[in-house]
Amino acid sequence: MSLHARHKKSLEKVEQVFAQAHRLRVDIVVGPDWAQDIMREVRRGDAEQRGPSMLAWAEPLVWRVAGGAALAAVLFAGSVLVYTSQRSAPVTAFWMEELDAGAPLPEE
Amino acid sequence: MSDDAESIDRVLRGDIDHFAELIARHRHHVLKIVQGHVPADRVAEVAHDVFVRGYRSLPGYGGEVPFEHWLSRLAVRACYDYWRAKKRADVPVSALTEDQAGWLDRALAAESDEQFREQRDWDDALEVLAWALARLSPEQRLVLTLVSLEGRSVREAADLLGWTVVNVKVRCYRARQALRTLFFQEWNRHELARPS
Repeated sequence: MSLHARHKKSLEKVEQVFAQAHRLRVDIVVGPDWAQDIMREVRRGDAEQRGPSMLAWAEPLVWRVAGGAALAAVLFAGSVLVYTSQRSAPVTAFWMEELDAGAPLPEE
Repeated sequence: MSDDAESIDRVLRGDIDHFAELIARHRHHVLKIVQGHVPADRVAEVAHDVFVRGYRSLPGYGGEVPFEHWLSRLAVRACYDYWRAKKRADVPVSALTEDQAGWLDRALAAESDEQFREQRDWDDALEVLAWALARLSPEQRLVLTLVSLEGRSVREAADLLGWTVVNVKVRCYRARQALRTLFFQEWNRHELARPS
């Protein structure tokens, strides 16, 4: 048997022993305080998350303003649509005049 | 509705005390996973972290997998984070003691199974294993522990780690090669140091 093959075989045995030793590890036992500590941390984190923040008063205000702003935007867009549909000719003429105001380019 | 589902539902509705039921039901399972990956004196701390993470991530638990399996993933992830943090701290790894080196020497030189069985000493084996694993990357040590030491399938390890099956296979192969190289080097070192 070559040296490499012998070493490989030995290493495989060592790996098997490691696996067996790993499985035979003694179970870790934790005391009753351990679970209580977790619950204490969970409750503390939860209280911090739910606690009043500095800007807690602003939250409902932001939502109310956002709703009002959205409503105003819809009303404005609607009124523009109605206006342009009723007076499309003057509006078109106005824009044509604005865009077509330049002097014609001299032809060479 | 299962016991877990009921407890989770109550916790999510704001009755935090029911989380204690989940801890009581799954503590043994989580501790078992964690103790396979981190030093004995850090097991309680890492398992604690697993449950705190579990509570914080509970709204994201959709029930696609059993709760215990979901917790297993968190446990493996917490162990991985533990080793990554330790690696960042760059704790120097000490050399093998004379006793450990002697154990490795005898183990590697053993000619027959019978001889080998007589030599094994679990404490020394675990110490040498810890020494070798400390020289691997966090990814390598995690995958090696799951597949080679705990005997999990590659697919199972991939699921727990959130990696692809191919990735697990490649990392596991490299980890085993790294471990073998380490042992060869150590063995050669002792062979050379031995008085002729």
